[in-house]
Amino acid sequence: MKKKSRISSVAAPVVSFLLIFFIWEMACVVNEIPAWFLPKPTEIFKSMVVDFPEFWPHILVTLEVVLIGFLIAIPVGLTIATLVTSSPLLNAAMSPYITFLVTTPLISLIPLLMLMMGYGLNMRITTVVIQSFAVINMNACTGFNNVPVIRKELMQSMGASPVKTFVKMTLPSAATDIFTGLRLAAIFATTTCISVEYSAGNTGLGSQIIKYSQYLKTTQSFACIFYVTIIGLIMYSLISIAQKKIVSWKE
Amino acid sequence: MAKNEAITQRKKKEKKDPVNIIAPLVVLAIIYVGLEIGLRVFDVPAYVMPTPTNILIGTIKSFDIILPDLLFTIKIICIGFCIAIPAGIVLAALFSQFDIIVKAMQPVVIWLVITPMITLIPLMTLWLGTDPNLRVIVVIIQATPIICLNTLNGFIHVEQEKLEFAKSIGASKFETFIHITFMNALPQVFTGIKLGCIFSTIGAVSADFVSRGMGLGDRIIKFLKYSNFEQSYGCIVLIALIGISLYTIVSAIEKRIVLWKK
Amino acid sequence: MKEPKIKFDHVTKIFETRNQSITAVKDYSMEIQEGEFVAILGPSGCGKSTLIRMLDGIIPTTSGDIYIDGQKVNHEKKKMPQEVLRKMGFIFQQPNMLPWFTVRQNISLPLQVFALKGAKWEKQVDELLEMVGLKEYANAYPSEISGGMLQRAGVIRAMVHDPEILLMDEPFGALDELTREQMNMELLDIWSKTGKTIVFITHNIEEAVLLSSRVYVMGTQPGRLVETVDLNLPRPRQLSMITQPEFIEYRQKLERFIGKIDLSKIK
Repeated sequence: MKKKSRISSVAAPVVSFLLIFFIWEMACVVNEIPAWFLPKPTEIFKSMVVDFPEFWPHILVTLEVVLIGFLIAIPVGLTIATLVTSSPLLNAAMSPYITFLVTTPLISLIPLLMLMMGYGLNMRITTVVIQSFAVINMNACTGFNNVPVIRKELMQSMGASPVKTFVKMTLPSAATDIFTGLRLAAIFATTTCISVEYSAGNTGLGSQIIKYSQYLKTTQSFACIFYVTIIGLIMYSLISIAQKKIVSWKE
Repeated sequence: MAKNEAITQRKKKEKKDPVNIIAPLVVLAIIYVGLEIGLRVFDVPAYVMPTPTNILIGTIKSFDIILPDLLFTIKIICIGFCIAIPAGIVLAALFSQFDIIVKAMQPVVIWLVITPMITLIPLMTLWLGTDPNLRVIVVIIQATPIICLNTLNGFIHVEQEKLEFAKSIGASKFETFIHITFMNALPQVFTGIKLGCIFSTIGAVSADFVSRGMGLGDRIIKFLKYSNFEQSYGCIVLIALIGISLYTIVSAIEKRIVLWKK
Repeated sequence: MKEPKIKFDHVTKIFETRNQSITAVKDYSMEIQEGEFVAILGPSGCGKSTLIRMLDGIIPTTSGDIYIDGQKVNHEKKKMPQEVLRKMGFIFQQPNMLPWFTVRQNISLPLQVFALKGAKWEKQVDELLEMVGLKEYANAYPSEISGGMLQRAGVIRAMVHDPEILLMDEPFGALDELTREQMNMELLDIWSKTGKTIVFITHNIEEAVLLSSRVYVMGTQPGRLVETVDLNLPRPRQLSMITQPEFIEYRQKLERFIGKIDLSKIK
């Protein structure tokens, strides 16, 4: 029974993806939709392979910006969350701003950042960091604030130092919330990176999507979009795997 | 009902803790004064960051220029968001009816959440033309998947005991869904909607950047071209205010409806 | 007379909230001798949990002093020093195991915090695990074992650093009746073997009479000491004693004290 359900949970999404691409393909063929308007999935996949050498440098740029930005955002978000939640007054004072940072589309800073820092990697990474640290920060704050009182009392009853308390109790208690934040941050990081690449310079997958669509090379445009998705998917799965490895316990 | 009111009032009372209101205002004052003094003392050029007072003055002066763009952006976000909420919930409700569809569609929804929908902006011009109002679609496709994903998670994680209870009192499938599954998932639905807020504003601003012509995102770039830094910063603040207002409204509604959430 | 192990000298605790101040414990004094097993009995909301948390340095006192071995241990706005905390082990109402550690890691946690290393302490962990029959489950995670086992683990975690005093906050309150009776007997066994001083908090009259040598009865609004009852029942205590006339007499006496407390005032 269990095996059967495992098979179906793998087979079902495969079938649904195949079905989606099949309908898309058929719709293009039957209605004779021109490739510049909406390319067939098979053509997109072909382009992903054939034009790969052309895409590769841009994939690397996007990957670099997303990954570095994301990796910087994690410690920044966690550190700020740790500081803010360390005192009740600071917590009360800062919590609206933590929400504010998350709800603000910080990508609106892109034009100004471009002015200050140019089109280079630094500017792109900065934008990714400021858009994605906020959501890590917010979720970590939620996690730190929801640590059960009784666990704090346990550490207090032993007179544990702040560092020991944090490492052995607070951090693991908040782990699930932190991973939720990381997963959202990964999505924000890719979205932001593409948005920056739309505006800044002519490297990165975002710039290529614009370029190809301007030349009506829609097939290549879609191939780039699919590569963006693959980058997102890789990050999302890596985070999920890390979560399964690290948060192996049941509450 | 009377008890409900009691809970509502208790929640209201809890919220009125003066520290929670005063402390953030103090922080705001510190940030404002600190920036005002710091920027003047260190002689920071306006293109890096204008002083808060200048931003305020500049924005008020040019407000008649900004207003149409502000209204446009609010319109795009609100319409898109208001379509995305029911769309996300209805899709999740449809998917959740059969186990096999949940299994088949959940990865598809995750795929849609992970794909930055703003990648489609350049192609949408191709498909639908250049009408700025079409940016509503960007907002919808950016916000719907995340709402759908969270709602779906809520729908499929209903405690078995609650469903058994519904069966024991002979509730119909529809009644069970409305009173048990849906109510049970409400906290997650709201989490999804809150995330949807964030995704909508991001979608709208990116669309402005790419397609230009209208909207606050476009206005930022226009101001920058003529070195009106104060006004660009003003636009950014306005976008931030739209984001936080939307989020606050959703949170307030959540507090009214989901009274049982701690 | 010998220096008392634990002494409360007019201890008061007032919780200040925004619009009111609540007196959780008012003017509480008691003396507990070394090796005694005392119970603090009272209805919920009488401040007994606050009392024991003040003793263990989790909650600071508002006024009055607490002495352990004649040494004043509560200080204004300062954490209780670790050498004082080392003398005590706290057992919570819930097992309060950290789910990311194995049973053994959970039990060794106080050793790590108190920086107690070496084979001697490792042996201590093994012996305690053996004593409560958890040896085979040492490498299991808390989510994998039963509630009774978890609570046993909670008890030996409080004992692993060899404290002189055990503080128990309704330790078996969350367990079913049968397990609870069994745990109480095991506790008496541990006490008679180790001779530790035990402060046992409960709202269960029978449990208080069965286990302790003296019962402090607390009342509510404000939380305060109402009555002290010395129990002259023979040791070792057995479950069968609950039907004996002396036992019933004590029980009825305590019931009368509890009955006098106006329960309608309890929030």
